[in-house]
Amino acid sequence: MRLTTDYTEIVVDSSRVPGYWAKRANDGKKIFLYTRDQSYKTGDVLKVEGAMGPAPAAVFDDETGIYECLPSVHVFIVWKALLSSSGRDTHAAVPRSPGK
Amino acid sequence: MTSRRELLFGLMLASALITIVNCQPFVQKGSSVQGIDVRILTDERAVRTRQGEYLGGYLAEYEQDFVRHKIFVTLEIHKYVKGNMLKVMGSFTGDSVRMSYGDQKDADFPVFVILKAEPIWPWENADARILP
Repeated sequence: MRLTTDYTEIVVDSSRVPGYWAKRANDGKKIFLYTRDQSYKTGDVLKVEGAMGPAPAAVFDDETGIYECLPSVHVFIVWKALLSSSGRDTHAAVPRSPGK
Repeated sequence: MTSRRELLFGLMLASALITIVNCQPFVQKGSSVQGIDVRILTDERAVRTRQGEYLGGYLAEYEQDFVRHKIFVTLEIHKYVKGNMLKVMGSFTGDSVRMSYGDQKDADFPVFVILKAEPIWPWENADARILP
């Protein structure tokens, strides 16, 4: 997954869900990665393990300023993430644990 | 075959509507989605409505038939600031918020749930166009 945003949040059922927007490498599908790890940046490529499902969510796009209540957002709950290439090229592959 | 297709379409539509309502559970049944241009008048506020809902949002103003109306617009992620002009899509809930603004003391403002908000750029021109 290539991160398309820095650390941000969406709201699902009035609860704040932190993480990143990302594009899946094989089909370019837009997915929200739920994680509390704030160390990644836009452009980072992560190999992730976890579970995914659709959820109705409120989303704010920082770039365009558009707020939207979407009927279905694909939310990926990250259990394990491995940085396979950095958008900044400053560090090599570093395994990270979830919820950190 | 056609009826099966219609049934499938009906189920998909019902499912989509349920998820939309789940996203904003306090939207009244039968309230229609409409688009209006609003100007945010206050900073973000957390309020209790007349029907006992706890909401976050802003007092906002829009113009219709040369009359200005004030409403309380609510959304779940608060990123806008006072003075922003927005093109919003959403619904009135039938609920209201009692608050004071300017020379209006303890006035009731209708609650409008935003499903989509898009900034009107630039703020200055939009302001001049809608609120001369």
